Amino acid sequence: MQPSNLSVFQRLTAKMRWLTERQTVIAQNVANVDTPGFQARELKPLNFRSQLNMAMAEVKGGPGLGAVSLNGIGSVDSGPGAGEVKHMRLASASHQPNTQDFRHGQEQTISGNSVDLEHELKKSSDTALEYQTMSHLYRKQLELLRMAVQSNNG
Amino acid sequence: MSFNTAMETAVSGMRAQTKRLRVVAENLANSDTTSATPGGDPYRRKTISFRSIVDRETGIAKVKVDKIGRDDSAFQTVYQPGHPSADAEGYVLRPNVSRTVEIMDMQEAQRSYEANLTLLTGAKNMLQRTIDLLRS
Repeated sequence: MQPSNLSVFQRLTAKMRWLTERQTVIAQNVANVDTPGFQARELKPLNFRSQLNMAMAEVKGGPGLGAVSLNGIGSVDSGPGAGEVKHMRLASASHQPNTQDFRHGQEQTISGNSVDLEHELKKSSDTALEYQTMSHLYRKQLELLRMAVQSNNG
Repeated sequence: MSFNTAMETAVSGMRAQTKRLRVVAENLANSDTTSATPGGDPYRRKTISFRSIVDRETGIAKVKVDKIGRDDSAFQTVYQPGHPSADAEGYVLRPNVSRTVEIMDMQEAQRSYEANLTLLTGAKNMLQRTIDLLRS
C-alpha cells in the first residue's frame, strides 16, 4: 500500500496537477500580453461530476479504481499509471485540447489582443493560494497516516 | 515538468520586454540625432513587435520578438540656418521620435516585465510548496 494509492492523495495530486497546468496557461497569457492578435486562453475547470463518479466507483469497488479524470486534458486511464495528466503535444496553441478561449468582458486592444493583465495576475495568485492549501492538506494527510502507522508500531 | 514550462514562458516574456526597452532606449538616446551630412535624413524611430511561438513539445505559446521595424512617419522640420545638418534653405530635419510616446512605451514594458516576474515568483513558490512536502 502506497500513499499514492489512497484516494485522498490521488484527488489532491490531481488538483495540484491541474493548478500547475493552470499556472502555465496564465504564464502563457501574461507573456503574450503585447503580442498582436493573441487570444487569452483558460484551462477548462476540473470536472466535479467525473471526479465524483470516480470516487463513487471506488467506494463500490468497481472499475475505474484509482482513475482520476481531468476534464478535457486527456483520456481517463484506469490502467497502470492512472491519474496521470496526458500532455498533448500539438503544434498550435489554438489546438491545445485542455484550454478554451477566454475573454474577460469584451475588452480587446486595437492589435487584437484579449489578455486582461489584472485578471490574469489575480488568477495567478488564486492558483498559488489554492496550491498552498492543497499542499497543506497533503501534508496533514501524511501526518495522519504517519500517526496511524506509529500507533500500530507502539 | 510543468512548473519549468510556466517559468520558461514567463522568462520568454521578460526577455521580449527587455528587448523592447532596449529599442526605447535607442530611440530616446537618438531623439536629437540629426543627419551627418547637410540636408540628409536624421535618425529614424525604431519600432518593435512581438509574436507568439508555440513550443512543439508542450503546446504552450511563448513570446518572441517578431521584428524591429522603422517608423515611416514624417520628420519634423526646424528652421536653423546655422546648424551643420541644415539644407540649402536653412531647414534641419529632426528625428520622428516623440519623447512622450517613448516614455509611455517604457512604462508599458516595465509593467509587463513586472507581471511576468510576478508569475515567475508565483510558479517558484508553488514549486517550493511541493518540495516542502518532503520535510514534514
